[in-house]
Amino acid sequence: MLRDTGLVFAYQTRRLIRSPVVIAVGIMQPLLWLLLFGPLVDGLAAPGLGSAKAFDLFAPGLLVMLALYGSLYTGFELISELRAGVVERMVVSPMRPAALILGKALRDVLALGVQAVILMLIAVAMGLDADLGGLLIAFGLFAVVVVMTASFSYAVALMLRDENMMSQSMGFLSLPLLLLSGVVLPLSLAPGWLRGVARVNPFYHVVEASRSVMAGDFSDTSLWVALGFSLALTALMLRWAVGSLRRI
Amino acid sequence: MVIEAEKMSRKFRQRGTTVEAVRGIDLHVRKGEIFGFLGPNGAGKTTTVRMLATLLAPDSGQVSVAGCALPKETRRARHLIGYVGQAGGTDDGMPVLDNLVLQARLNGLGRTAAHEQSRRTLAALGLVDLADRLPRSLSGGQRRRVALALGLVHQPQVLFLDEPTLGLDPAARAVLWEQIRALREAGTTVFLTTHYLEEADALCDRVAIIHQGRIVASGGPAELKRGISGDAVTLSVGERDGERVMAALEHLPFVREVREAPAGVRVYVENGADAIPSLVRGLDELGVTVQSIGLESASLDDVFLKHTGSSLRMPGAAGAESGAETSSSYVA
Repeated sequence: MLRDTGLVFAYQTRRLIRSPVVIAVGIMQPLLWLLLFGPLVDGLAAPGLGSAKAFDLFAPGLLVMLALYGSLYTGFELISELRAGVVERMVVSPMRPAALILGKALRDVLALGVQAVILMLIAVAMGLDADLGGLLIAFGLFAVVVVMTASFSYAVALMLRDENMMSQSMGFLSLPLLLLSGVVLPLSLAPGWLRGVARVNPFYHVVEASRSVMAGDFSDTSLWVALGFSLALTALMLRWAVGSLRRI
Repeated sequence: MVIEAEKMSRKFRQRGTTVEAVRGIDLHVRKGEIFGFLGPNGAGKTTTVRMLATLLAPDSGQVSVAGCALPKETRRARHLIGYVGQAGGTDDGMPVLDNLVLQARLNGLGRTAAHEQSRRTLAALGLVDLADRLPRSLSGGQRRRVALALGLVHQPQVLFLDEPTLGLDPAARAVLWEQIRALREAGTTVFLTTHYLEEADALCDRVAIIHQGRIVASGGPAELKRGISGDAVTLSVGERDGERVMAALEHLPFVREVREAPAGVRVYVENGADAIPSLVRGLDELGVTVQSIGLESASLDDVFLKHTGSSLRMPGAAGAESGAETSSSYVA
């Protein structure tokens, strides 16, 4: 299993390196948010924000935005591979089917991880005040969220097998997931009912946890809630995707 | 037997209704033979090959491939089989050699062995020059040969090919046929599905004809055609006169059988050349003008026609092919 996952990961990474433009295009959206929206929130003061600098609250959320948008659409690749018979060919080999999903998801972690590092370096240059240990923990959480979201995207792709339906479905999901994650502004500013709805959104907990740890607050329970929530969902999504792969 | 299936069945649910794609078929494929599975689109060929290639579990029946009982020994079977689906399975985003090396490694070969075996397979199929090319830059025939290489790179005992020459021009098809024949010489058992009659006839040691999920005939192509015996004379008389002509010709003493054909009738006789003058005379007496006459030996299509009542070549028939006819024609 480990060997097969490693083989798929190495192959997919070489494939990614052949198209570096994918990484450049992928980082554009969160980068534009950082460059064009970041200066707007810098220095913003509002009830609910506490003593924290608004920019320090905003920048960690961009990591989650990158994970969400970068992984949610990765299933498109699987649809074209299904159509070309690549998936079928690999499934007939003695490889464990889970290795295909995991290998691809880990490639997504690598591709998005590079983008995340670039993003945070620019954010630091723009004035982000982040705890280094907290930043590393946030990157770890980011990796889990990428595997979770990518596995979800692969599972949906295997179920729908149609680019148009995939595009509609992911478009429908991405906006509420983003708005209810508190990436743009903390949901502490939101009315009670909205905060209640947000609590079922795993990305909300990841944003909260990322903000806490990057601020150097490791005692906050949000980290454990986010980690538990994300790991449980990652296991479920992987299971779903691998189960779908067995039924192609 | 390398492949054995007894009463193998598979159903699918489609929009609330159950479709019986494969209905209790039996298959016995010997080691080292090319076995053809012939039938129109939708007959159950792909479902069958997917079940044998471990992609789909049968609903019922006993299946054994390369000595492995399926689905129980799926993983062991996957070490021993190769599979090339209709789509081919080449990854357009990576060079041909990388495609092959990954496939070899997923089949358990080490890094060095995978590279060596990939290069050896490319050489055997005359693809060495394409090793560094992206599959998307290749012609249809070249892509098909790369797909074949992907199925062969780990030297399987049994190779499953689902419509291997679909959409290829005759020249590319001939090249692929030669390479499939070479596999037989090397001792590989090949199970291929096709709806090309001439492919089954020219390439396969034995064929099974599938129609609506059931095998209606099986045996060597020559043996199956012998069951029809004699020649087939196709008379184009226009659709208006078809039924009248059939009724009249059925009673001629040398006619074995008359069947409807596109824009005419198909008459089975012992000796076509001798029968044609009498057939034309008979139609003349009926006042029917013969527009053209075709004479050919009985083909696998005639076998298909005999067992199913329809032709693989009939316009509108699922899987009707556009392959070249082998008949000699006369215009009346």
